[in-house]
Amino acid sequence: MAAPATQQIKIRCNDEKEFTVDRDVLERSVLIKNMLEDVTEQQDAPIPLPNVSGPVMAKVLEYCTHHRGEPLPSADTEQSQDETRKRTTDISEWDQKFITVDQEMLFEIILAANYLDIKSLLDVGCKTVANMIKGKTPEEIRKLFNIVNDFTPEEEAQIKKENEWAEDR
Amino acid sequence: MRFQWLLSLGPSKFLKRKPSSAEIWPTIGYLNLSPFPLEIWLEILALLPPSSAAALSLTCRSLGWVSQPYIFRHISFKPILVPSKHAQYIDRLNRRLSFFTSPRIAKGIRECTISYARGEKPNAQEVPIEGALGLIVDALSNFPHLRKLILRSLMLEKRQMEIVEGLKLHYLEMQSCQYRGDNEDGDEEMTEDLHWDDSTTTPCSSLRSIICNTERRQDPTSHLILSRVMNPLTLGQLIVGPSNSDFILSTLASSSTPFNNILNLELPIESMLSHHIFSALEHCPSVTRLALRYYDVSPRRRLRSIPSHILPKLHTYDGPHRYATLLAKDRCLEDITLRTFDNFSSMCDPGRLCEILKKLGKDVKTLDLVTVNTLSKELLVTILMCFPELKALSVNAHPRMFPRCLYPEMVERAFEGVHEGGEMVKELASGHDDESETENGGMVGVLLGGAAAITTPVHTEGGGLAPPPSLADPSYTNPSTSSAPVQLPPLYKIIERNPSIPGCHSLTSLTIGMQFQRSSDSSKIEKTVLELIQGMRRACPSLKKVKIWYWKYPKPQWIGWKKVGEDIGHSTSSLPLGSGNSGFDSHTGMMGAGDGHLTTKRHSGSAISDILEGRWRDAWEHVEMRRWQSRKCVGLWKDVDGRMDDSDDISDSGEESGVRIDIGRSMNVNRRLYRDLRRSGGPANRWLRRTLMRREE
Repeated sequence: MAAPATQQIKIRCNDEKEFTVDRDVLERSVLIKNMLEDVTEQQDAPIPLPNVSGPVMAKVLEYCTHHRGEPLPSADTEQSQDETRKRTTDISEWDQKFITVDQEMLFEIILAANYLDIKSLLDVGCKTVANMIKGKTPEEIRKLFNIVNDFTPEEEAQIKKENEWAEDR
Repeated sequence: MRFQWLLSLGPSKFLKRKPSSAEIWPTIGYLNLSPFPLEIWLEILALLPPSSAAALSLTCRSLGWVSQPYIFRHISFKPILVPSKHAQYIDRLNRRLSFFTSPRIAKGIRECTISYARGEKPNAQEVPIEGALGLIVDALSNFPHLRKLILRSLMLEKRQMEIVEGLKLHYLEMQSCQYRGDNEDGDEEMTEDLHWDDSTTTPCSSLRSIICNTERRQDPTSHLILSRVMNPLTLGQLIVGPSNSDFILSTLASSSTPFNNILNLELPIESMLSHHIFSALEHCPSVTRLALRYYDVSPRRRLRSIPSHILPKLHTYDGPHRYATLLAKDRCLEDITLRTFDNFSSMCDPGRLCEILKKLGKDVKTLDLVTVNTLSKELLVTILMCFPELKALSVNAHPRMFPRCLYPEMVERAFEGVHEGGEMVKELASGHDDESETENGGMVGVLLGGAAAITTPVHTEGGGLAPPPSLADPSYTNPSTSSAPVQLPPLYKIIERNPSIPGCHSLTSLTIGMQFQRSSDSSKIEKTVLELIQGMRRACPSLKKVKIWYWKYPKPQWIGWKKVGEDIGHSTSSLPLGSGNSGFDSHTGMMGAGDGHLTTKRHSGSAISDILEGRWRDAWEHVEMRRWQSRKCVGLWKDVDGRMDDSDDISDSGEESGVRIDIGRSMNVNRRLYRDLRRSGGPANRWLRRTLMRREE
């Protein structure tokens, strides 16, 4: 191949699992990108990622490999993002397929994407969770996330009453 | 796993403050938001509709605390009722506003709509509630993060306008609003004053978007507020109606600072005749999209030319064709929407429309013809030849323009089964190379010659579409030639012989609005559309997406086909099609078939039943359907009985018999669906029964 050899970076997950990945793939993660930019000389020691496990990292790398080369979302201010970013829960087909995993893995991917600062993956994860929540009753949502209901009946009634202020009548 | 988050963490600054009004919140010492940290919950909440935020707020105290403000991101008021309910409304409004202005909620409010618009079934007895508007507008300044304000059909007083002006809005929409000054003719005076004072006024607002489309018969919205809020440094979108256009154009023209950020500009069409127009547009050098809207009357005159230095960056145009051709002279228009405003426009005549299209330049990538009366083959070929880079074509694809939609046979004729005069055949068969070398338009000229000979359709074998005589468009019936029609090859064969029709190889997306007879049942419509799409795919091999809109009571619906990217790895080559209706409130689902898939909006339950009831069995070789909304997933595979003769290799697509149904892991099979699934399974399908049995357990 005539293409220039890309730099290979080693990373180590919290379960000692190591990956050797092309630099451009890894740079989908803003956290690692910034890390690599801070380090000037070539290092052989793997980058430790204490918050990510091996299986989750494998999944995250699958995502990064598929989306390598795509422009990173610009770091806009929060306000302009609010206006310009389309608030839809549509997910592209590949991402949809990619994120069809069991719930535990989905949550782990979201946490990893948040930690590694991969905006687009975090988006896909959050949209998937949002889609899971949509149309569900509070009880169904509690079941989904293993949430314990700590409201007293009075508190619950009060919130219900407050929520009614949304209606104009 | 528990997360104890500092209340000041993340973008939710409102959490810092201890709520004063709510009684239960002070007892929360920490937020237990497992499984996600706060910032992720905030991301998710931003994607949820208010109803889901409300459901989430009732799950537990921590999530209640976080999600409640999201229920009130967008608040709306409609203080117009029958007089007997006024006192009750005011009483509730006061309590409502006091809840909204509590710090925790107030900081979450981003959008507000206030409207006197009566809606579709107006009740003449409903009148605006006195004092309500004042209360609401007064409260607005308590919402520090309010960025979007929509005012509809209001009569605003000066003081209220001043409050609006003082808000830190990014988006201000004033639809059909009127301004009531201190005295009756205050408007006039103010207009004059401000107009001449403009250079010294420093706009303090940071509005990025102003929509102010008041119709002419109404009084103009306050010029005072408009002139003050038009900040050249921030304004990115400006949409104006006739009653304000003169004032706004003069403001633009006389501004000492150019409005460099305006990208999107919408003006009433008659404002093109204003004497400020050129100097105003000169001050908006970055505009990329210009839309000229028609309000009440078509202007009797029009501009004859537009100086070339005006709007140099324009690439998107939406409006009547006259200005499209003027603008296309010196600019690269890539995205064009052509609208007609009356029944006498040139757009109604395909021949004249062809002439117009030839003047739009060769850079057009997206073309949307909003109200075309006929889609003839000559028009289609003209489009494909004039625009070598055309990616997306829409014809009457706006369901609101339903009466203008095309009949299916008209579309089919355009795409293939056409019989035309011998002239065209000869030209296409022999001399096409010379023609195409001179100019793309050359071929079109030849095609135009053949247009008159288009006759009633005689459908090719297998096409199977025999339209009722009542549907046949009389304009296409030419008795002199219909007696001895010359058989012409379908469009795809013409294209094969004439690679010089470039649009066929670039066109990826096609949307057409169609009319079906009222009585047509869904399966007939689907069959017709299916055949049409096959014809279109043959004609334009590069197509990746086809969508057919049609009206079916009570909502517009569509049927579409979409090619699936290679990365999906579907191996079977099959007939790809899908169908859907556009229930705006229904869930988003996806349907797929072989190498194509369809994104559609419909309730998955009914879609599954449709398939199982066999409505699509003739057409579908492979149907895969997923509903992601609640992580439900169903796939159906069905082999084809070989009736679909297509270039696609269907015959050896698989050896399964019967239907194979794949149910997603977390599929929630309700009783009806379960029954349907069982019924369609059949004895041959052990796999299905196994799956269902697993479900049953």
